[in-house]
Amino acid sequence: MKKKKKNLSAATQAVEINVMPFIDVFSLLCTFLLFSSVFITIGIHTVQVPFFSSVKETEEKQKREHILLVDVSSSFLELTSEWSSHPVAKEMHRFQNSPAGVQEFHKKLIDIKEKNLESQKIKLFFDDAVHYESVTKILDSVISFGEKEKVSPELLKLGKLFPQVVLGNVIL
Amino acid sequence: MASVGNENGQTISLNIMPMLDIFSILILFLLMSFSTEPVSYDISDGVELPVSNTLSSLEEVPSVRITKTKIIINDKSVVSLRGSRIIGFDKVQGSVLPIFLELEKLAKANKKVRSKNNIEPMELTLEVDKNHEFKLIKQVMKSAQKADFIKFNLMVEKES
Repeated sequence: MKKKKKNLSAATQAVEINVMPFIDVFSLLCTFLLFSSVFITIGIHTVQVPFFSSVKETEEKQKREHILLVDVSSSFLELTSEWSSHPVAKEMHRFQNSPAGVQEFHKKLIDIKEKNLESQKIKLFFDDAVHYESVTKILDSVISFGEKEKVSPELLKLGKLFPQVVLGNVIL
Repeated sequence: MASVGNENGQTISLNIMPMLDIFSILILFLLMSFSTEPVSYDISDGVELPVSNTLSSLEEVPSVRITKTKIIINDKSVVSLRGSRIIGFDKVQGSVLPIFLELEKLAKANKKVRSKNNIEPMELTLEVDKNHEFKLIKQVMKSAQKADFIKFNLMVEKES
């Protein structure tokens, strides 16, 4: 009985864990991660400039295709939508270069894209005085749409509005 | 529990469990943010990036940085700026000679690295301050276009 009591008292003794090495490791890891972590995430907008190619146009390239042009100044956005061959069906729309105007411009682009899902390319012509911040807002409205926006399921599958953006006035 | 002895020989116990809780949560958060970005890059001094809702992430470190006061190509200051105007150099067909020469060197180095079968157009990543005018960006792009760069990645700050 006494032996059993001794065994029981040995078993119920408190076990002390030394947490100091744990704190050392954690503090070092925390210091390293704080120095290397990124608190501002960086993204990109991919654009291209026009270039002349020596490849001859094939018959496929000469087929009727949709052309979208946007003229951007400090005060206005002018959107031109037309086809490369008859019937041209040219349409022009003007918007203010303001948050509300850019929003309307974006909705118009969604309408156009839903009618022409194969259309991928858009050409932008920025005035020299337009600021880079405004350029970015226009690129946002041209390339992507928000998750909460009401778009057709086909457009939702594509993921982007007009992924090929060409800066039309950057040409030698 | 940690404990410390004072002059009277009494021990003062310190409860370190809340500190361990905070440490573990902080480390979990930092590990998650460390692993989600493919490239870790600190924005240059003198550059404020515009905010965007883009989903594309930065894939390579920028070769061209346009700060408020200068243009830097591969860590070498090439031209000085006053506002959005380049000081001291004339434009030829809209491009600037020192920028073109540096980008030409970069293009030659890239061509050596690219494989013979790689016919994709060459890309250049630009880090530009948000207050600059498009005229300056156009001049840099024209200089790059002369050096065979056709595609450009414009850096932005992702919306939180």
